[in-house]
Amino acid sequence: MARYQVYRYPNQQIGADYDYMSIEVVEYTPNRSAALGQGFNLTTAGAGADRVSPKGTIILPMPDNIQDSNSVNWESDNLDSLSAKAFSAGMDLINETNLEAARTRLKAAGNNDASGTDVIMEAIKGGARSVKNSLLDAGAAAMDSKVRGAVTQKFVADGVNVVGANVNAANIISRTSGQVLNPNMELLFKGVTLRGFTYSFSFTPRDRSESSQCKAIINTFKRRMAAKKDATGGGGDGIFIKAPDVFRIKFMSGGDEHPFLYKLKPCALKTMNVVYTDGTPYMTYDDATPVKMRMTLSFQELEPVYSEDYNDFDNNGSDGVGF
Amino acid sequence: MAEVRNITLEEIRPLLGNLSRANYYQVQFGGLSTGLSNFLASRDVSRNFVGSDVGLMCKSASLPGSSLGTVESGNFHGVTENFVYQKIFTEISLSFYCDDEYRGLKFLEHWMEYAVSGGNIRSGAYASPQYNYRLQYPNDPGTGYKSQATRIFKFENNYSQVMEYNFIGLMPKSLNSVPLRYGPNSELTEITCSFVYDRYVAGSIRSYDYVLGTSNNLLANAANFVNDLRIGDAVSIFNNLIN
Repeated sequence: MARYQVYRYPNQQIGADYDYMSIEVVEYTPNRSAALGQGFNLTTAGAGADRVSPKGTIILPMPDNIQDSNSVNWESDNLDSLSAKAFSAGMDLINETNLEAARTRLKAAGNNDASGTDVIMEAIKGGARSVKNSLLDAGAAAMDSKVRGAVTQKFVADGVNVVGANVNAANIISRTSGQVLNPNMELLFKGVTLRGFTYSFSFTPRDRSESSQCKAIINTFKRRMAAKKDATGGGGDGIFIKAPDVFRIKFMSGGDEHPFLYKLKPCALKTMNVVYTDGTPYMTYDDATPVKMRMTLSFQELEPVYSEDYNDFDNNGSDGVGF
Repeated sequence: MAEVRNITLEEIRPLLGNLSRANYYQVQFGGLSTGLSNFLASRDVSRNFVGSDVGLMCKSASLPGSSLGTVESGNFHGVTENFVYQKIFTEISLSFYCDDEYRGLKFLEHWMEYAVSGGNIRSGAYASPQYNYRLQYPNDPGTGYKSQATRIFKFENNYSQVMEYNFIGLMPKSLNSVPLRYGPNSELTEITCSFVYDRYVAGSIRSYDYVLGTSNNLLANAANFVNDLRIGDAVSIFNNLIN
């Protein structure tokens, strides 16, 4: 694919009622300057790959298994009210005490200085007293003896753990009172994920021209997914290797993008697997082309899907299901 | 209340008196590649025999069957809905009388042999203990092994109506063993072969039937691009031709 090439399987004209998958090969364009875009949005390599001209196009039939899986990362998290108060007290401590003094204390502790440890212990005790006083002062009227006991047990346990004991305050509270601190569990957003896609294609060449196309398609994917050793500008050959080409994948219907199926962002080809004896013993045509092959490609998008990616979509679904 | 009424014999006679007979049919092989035709011709199975005679020697045939692949849905509890996702074509089986030159047998035997003749069969090495098979491409324009224009015609003795089946991508899949035995001199040698194909089309697929609007069992006055032409268009086309 030195110059722009189009490979297709099956090797036939594409009519208006023919659905297929179009895979464009484009050069990976890194975020060279790590330049900031608007605000704190980093310019991504995926956005770069969307702009550059393709080196070639591979047209394949609709794969056997078309599916997408969108996900974002959410995880459950606990925060009991005592820890929340302690955090609040810590914030008060930071806000209301001399930061330089706190830095000095931490530095002393980092030097394994016993006096520094004592200072930290004193700080923890002070914090605990602060929280305890805060709790007691804030809700004394509403607190009964069990709550007071639990609070005491928690901070005793925390204090004992400072000197190396392995005491779980929650277990002690549960042992002694048959109850646990309310964890205030909730699901918290942790971040975005990158989508992955695996497509499987069956090749059964019907004539010599299709055999040539199959060979070229497999060769192109193998070649374009490989890293390049011709990286330059790094101060000498062999120090760096360059990213492989990436791929723009589209489901097509005739000359237009498929009106229903999902869209993909530029993808990297991470894994390619070809079975040259798919469901048959080794058997070939007279030019040694295998009778049936199966190519499986595993792609992963270069950037996550964001809500703003749908800004250009119609809400009535005329642009398909989206990403 | 169900609509049940007396039906007279005169009413039902036109319906039941004109039933189709199973013994009026014709098989016609065609659309073989040059490579396959030459391969057969070199074994005394001429193009004329393939295009006409072997079909006439077909003693029993079957019109193709098909089925619809379906998926089920249970969106309404207690109800299973079926949805079509594919048309599935089934094999057909044809039986032939064998002539005393065995051309019918050679036709099928060497057609199947041709499909696996991509190696060095032409060099005569096929008798070698070390021989191995390679394949011909199925759809290669010059050397493919599939028939692209085999037809079965079903008609009646008055030839007023013809039901035509066109097979695309047909090839023999299984040639049954031919039974031979001592017995009466009147017993004939019969060959039975199963054929597979990519798909079939009911009705003509010839281009002139398409122009006439009678392809795919369409009535002649059904919509097609000829009938869709308006008189004004036709006059315009005619004027363009003569000017």
